[in-house]
Amino acid sequence: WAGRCSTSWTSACGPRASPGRRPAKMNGQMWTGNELESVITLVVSSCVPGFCFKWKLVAVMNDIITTMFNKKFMEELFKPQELYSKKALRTVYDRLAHASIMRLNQASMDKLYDLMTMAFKYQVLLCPRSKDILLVTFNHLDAIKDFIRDSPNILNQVDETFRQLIDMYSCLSAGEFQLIRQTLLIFFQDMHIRVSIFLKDKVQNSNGRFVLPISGPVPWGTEVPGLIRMFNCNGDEVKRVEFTNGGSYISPQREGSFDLYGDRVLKLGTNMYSVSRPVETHMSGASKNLASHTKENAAPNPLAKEELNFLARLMGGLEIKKPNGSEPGFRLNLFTTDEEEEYAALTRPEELSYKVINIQATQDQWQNEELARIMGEFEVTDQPSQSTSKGDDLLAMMDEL
Amino acid sequence: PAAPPHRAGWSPRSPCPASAGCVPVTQATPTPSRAVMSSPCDARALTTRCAVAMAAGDTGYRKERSVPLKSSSSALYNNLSVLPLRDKQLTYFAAVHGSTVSLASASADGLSVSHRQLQAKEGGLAVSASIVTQASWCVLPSRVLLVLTSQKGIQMYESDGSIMVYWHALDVLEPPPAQAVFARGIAAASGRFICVGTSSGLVLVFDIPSKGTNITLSEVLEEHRDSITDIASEVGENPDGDADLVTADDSGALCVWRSKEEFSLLTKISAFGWTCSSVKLWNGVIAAGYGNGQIRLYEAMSGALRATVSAHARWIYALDLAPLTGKLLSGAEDSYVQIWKLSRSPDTGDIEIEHCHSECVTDTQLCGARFCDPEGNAFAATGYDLSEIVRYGQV
Repeated sequence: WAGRCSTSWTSACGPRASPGRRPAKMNGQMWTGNELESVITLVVSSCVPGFCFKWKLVAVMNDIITTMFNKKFMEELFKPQELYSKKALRTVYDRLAHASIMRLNQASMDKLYDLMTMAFKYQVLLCPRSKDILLVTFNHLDAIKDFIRDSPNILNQVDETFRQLIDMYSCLSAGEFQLIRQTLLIFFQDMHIRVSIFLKDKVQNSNGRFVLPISGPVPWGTEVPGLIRMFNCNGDEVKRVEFTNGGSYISPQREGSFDLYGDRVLKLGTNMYSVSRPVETHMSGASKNLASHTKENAAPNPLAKEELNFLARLMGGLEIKKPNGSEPGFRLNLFTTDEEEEYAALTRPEELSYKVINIQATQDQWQNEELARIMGEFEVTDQPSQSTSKGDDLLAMMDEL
Repeated sequence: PAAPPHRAGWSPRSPCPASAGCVPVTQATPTPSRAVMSSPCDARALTTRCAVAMAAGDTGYRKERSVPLKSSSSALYNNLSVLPLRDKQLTYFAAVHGSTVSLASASADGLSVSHRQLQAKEGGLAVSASIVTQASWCVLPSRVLLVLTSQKGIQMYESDGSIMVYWHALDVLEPPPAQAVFARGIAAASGRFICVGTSSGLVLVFDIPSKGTNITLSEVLEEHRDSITDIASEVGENPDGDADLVTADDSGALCVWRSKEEFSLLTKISAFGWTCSSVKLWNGVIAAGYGNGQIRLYEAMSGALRATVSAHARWIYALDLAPLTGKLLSGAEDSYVQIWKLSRSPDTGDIEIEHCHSECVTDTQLCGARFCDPEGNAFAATGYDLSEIVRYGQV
């Protein structure tokens, strides 16, 4: 390949990579099967520049979802255990976010994590019933399944996780769900980062606290407040009195479905950005539209040029210009400029820093037992046999082109 | 003057027992002042004030100065304990945050507050800090102890939190079970014991000497099959029998006990599908708060259901009872504190409950609420993520 082998794409494909010698990226890391697939997709679609970015995002999405629903990682998650520490969760999140060819700098990563944390806190806090935290998870999975609806392999993985969730959690009592919810709320305690989409929708106050409505439907199984019934010692109702409790509640319409497919009824956990809106988190006042809304940008995509250079490098046509040319060329910046991103990283308040452990590919000795255990189950690279065979298939396909 | 307009819940069948010279107040009259009520009402004066005030409007409580906390409160059942110290003109407050308990000692006007924080004790090798589930003062005739329950065990302190006098570690099971392990539910019983519940449904009974650290585990009650949520002892006088302790669990089942000499089970009240998160016992009446927002009243001796109240739109997290007046308060995730009045009809013996007052703590899921005095003239509450204790006093 580009870094090591011949200079042309086709000649790299001609002689097959011998078993055990896996193709390598420019920075020495191994290609996963999915990354190869992504590259092929890019090569094919580079003829149609307008689709480039979208294909890249699809590739990123597929990679992240495949990694997240990796069988071993899911097995690890489903073991009964204490909640991850904040450090461990942030590290896992970092790993997931970098499971594709997408890269984020520290500041953008922090911002993304803030957004995820506050959104999830909101969802857990506002669940009408304790059991609804499961419905929230099902909403998440339904949305994920929609992203990868054209990839049956990944879809199966997600469905499998869905079934495991149903098996494990459907039989828990309301009290047990409430304990889970209370534990999650302890994790999110004292986080009040303001998110602009929440501020705009008036679900969050300017002090960062969420708005708790005192009207609307009561949870399924709860009666609308206002009635006192009194019984005599024989159990006959002898008196009925109404009172005003202060809120203005109504009866709920129906219960959400806990099946593999069904109407969840609950809106918490559905895609917050299904209506195109800006995404910002406020700490220092910096703001940036998330990259997925680039169709709003009239200017030519600065990433497109980078992309083409990357492809050209793969094809061996260009020399590597950058001194530290180890970047695969797709970096997501959640701020307006690189300078702003750097500034945000420097000025992030101490109490909000995540103290992320810097992950080296495989070599670090893990001091932290907990992280070692999680990372042991959580591998970004596929099993060797899998990726080689996938690589072989792709190479074979390209031979026929 | 015309008869006072009835407000829902005020029944003419239960008039003020003193009934001498109390001036009824019409709706035109503004908030009833104490001067109006200067009739020779006896200890039951509040019934009169309640009835009269309710004729004129709500029994007024107004917001008083909040007491700040060093850390915000966690979303745990019954997460506020109050110890009024009348002789010192101070009130102690305790609320739990993760593995810490915030203690605040406030002067009567709330201007002078001092703080202390207690930590959960780690029992042996610990990867992460043990979470405290509850902190509560237990008032015994000879001493007052502050009890903390956590995932690792039970800690007992002198009432100001200065010295730990006892530590009981929960049994560590190998291999660790798939269920969470913790202690939760605290109450003093019979002037002699402190009862603490566990996540496996056991109730541990500790014998407390009048002073010193020679506290021993004297009995273990095994009736519940689900995690204990709350325990309450009789705070009034039981007219009919000797039921003096009630224990509640996650499934919603209640057990009623006699604790004189030896503990014995008197009756069991079955669950109806919702967690009972908070329970109180007064004059033979059990008041229980549930996860579906309902309050239920039961006869302690027989276990018979006497009233249901659709009180809240969300999970009830706290109940408290003012023993001198029979006032009941309930706090829930729906942001509301509701104040009620319990009574027994002298003719029929029926248990009655009426609504007195609503208070909304905006944008807060309440996790703890208590009266600050045995008459129920003032109450306090705290909520998830709230770094203060909000207080209200009767006007």
